[in-house]
Amino acid sequence: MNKILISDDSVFMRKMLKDLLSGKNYELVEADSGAKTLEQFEKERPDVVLLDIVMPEGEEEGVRVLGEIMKMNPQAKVVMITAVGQDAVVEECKKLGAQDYIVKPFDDKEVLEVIGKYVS
Amino acid sequence: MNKRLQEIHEEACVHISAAFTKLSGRKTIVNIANPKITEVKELSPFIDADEIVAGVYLPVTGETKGAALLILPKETAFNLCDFLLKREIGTTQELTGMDESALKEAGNIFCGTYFTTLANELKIKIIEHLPEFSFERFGGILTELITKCAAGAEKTLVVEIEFMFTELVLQGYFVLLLEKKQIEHIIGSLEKKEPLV
Repeated sequence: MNKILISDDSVFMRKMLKDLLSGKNYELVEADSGAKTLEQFEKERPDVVLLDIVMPEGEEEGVRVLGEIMKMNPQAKVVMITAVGQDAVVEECKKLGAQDYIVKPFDDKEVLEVIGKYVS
Repeated sequence: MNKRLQEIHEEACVHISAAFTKLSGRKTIVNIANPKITEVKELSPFIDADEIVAGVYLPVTGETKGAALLILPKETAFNLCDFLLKREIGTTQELTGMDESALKEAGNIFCGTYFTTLANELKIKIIEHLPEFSFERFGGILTELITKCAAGAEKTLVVEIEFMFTELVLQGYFVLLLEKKQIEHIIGSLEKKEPLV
């Protein structure tokens, strides 16, 4: 079973993603901060990370965390969670190694398609 | 109404409506109406100072500096929570952590979408910062707003908002706070000949 790490400080957004992904044969783990994300990434070894750009530590904490994840595992599959108007940050994340991105609020079909590309 | 500002609001409404339809899983139409330019300290006539409201505050920098504030009276906030969390209308009687998170996210999306529309129309770069949420007397939110704005954002653009769901129409306010010279520049750059109201 593929494991997905949902990293977003919004408990509501984590719930939306969990509700969408439950019952789709994924094991789900969560993190609500940059520090917790790195802790969970090391402990849980997820197949895919859904990583919000904005975290309690700062507006681009997700970019920093992405950099740390790629150092830990250059093969990591990270999908950034972004808001409308964050195109420049998304491009920066892709250069750092993020595979893809999804935009809030989520289009359910699009989220499943994006994740589907990166799981076995 | 200033024709270009109306066009910006209509476009923002299209995007915000689509966003709230996705968030709530229900067809949602958002309307923005009755824009007014007013001083920050004169916002009190719009909402009673003792009325309990949910407020989402989104500061911005970049080529303009200021913030947006989405104000939802308590009843609107509770009903919106029911829609966002797919509960029966009337379920929410007080806000839990999940409810606050839902409202904060909804407010962030509302304000962020408005700024993106404004930025695209005016071809300026706007950088959004961390949103803040509060649920308290409007007077308290207003006092904090005046303090935050002491450095320069004296003028505000206030509009009324409607969230139209099949079952209910919810009402609130959206306040755009910018430095006086910025708001005059924005309004001035839209259409010099037409007054705002």
